[in-house]
Amino acid sequence: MLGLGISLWGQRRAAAAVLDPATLSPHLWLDPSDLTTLFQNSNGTGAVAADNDPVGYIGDKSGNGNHFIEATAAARPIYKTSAGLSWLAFDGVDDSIGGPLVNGFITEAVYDIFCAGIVNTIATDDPSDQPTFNDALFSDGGGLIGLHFRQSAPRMCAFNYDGSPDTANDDYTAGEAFVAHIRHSGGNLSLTQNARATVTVASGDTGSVINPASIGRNRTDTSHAWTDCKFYGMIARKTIFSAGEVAALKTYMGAKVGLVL
Amino acid sequence: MTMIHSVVMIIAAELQEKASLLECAIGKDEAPLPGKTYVRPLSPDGSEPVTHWGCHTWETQAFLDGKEAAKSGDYPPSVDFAVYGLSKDDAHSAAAGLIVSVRDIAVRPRDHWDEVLAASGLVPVVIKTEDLKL
Repeated sequence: MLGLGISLWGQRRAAAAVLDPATLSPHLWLDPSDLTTLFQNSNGTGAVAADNDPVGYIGDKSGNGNHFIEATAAARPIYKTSAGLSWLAFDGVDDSIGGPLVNGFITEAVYDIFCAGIVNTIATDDPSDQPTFNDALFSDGGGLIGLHFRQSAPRMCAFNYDGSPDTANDDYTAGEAFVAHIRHSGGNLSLTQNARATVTVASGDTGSVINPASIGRNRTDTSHAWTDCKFYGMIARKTIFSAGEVAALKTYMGAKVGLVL
Repeated sequence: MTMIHSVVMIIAAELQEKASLLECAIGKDEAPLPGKTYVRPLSPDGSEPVTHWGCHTWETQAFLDGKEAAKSGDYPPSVDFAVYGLSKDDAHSAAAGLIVSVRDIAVRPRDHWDEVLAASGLVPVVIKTEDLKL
């Protein structure tokens, strides 16, 4: 028994320690804990080095050039670090960062996205569960994909628009750390939050994948477009991850937001 | 450039473009002009027309010192207003018309924002854009 216990412990430790997301060939990889990828200015100058530095540029570690930028100083999130964790803080008033077209990391038929965050407060309550009118951790400029949040029966909603809106919803309490795994494949959209059960709905091809991605806001509404949130990272691929890769990514992204998954 | 302040800024609608261009002139925003520093539409009752525009930012003491100096028309020599279609009088009117509220960076930004709007008698205006669904 003792030997078995040690062996399992050793395997878990090894799996958590050795995962390098680059080996999974993601099409997007944002990691606020890697200061070599963060810059204060949108042109990639001015290294981010300390708590409360503004962030105008997040480099894509996937090597695919899907960098996120913000040219307006007042709209930039700030870098925060505490207790071994690092994140971007968005003010919920007018902060966001974005730019790359979503076809840089998704296709119409398939995408697999992991993101880690905390929504501090949910200020919106659109009953249609569409990202256009709800707070979002990320979204695209056309309102076709995203992860958004609503107050009533508080929930997080993975969204895909295939000619009509489809949402995979799960309970969510503001202030809680989460890793969200959003998968669109085989005519289905699914959302898995942390170690909770997966929620799946039918959803066909995304209507358009040529809109710019944003973090920290929904797409266009000028009254409640911005989200009071913390962003700990995001990894996306145009093909689905294997079951083993999903498990490893959950653990990896969980560690980014202080969860053991 | 570590930020130490939470800052809310509000400008009257008729000065929004000049105030936005001024942010570009001092290097806080960039083309396409006039930039998008003041992006939150406001009015006394939340309905149109928009009477004011606002923003929240995290900033340094140097930025605030610069804002204060600007009210007296004091700018660094490197600021070239003409490039942004501004006269010194334009810049002065925009700087003088700005409502600036400063708190410690530890404040929750939305609380700061809501506090300033309440004190100013302003409410966010909902301008819903058409459903693009491209």
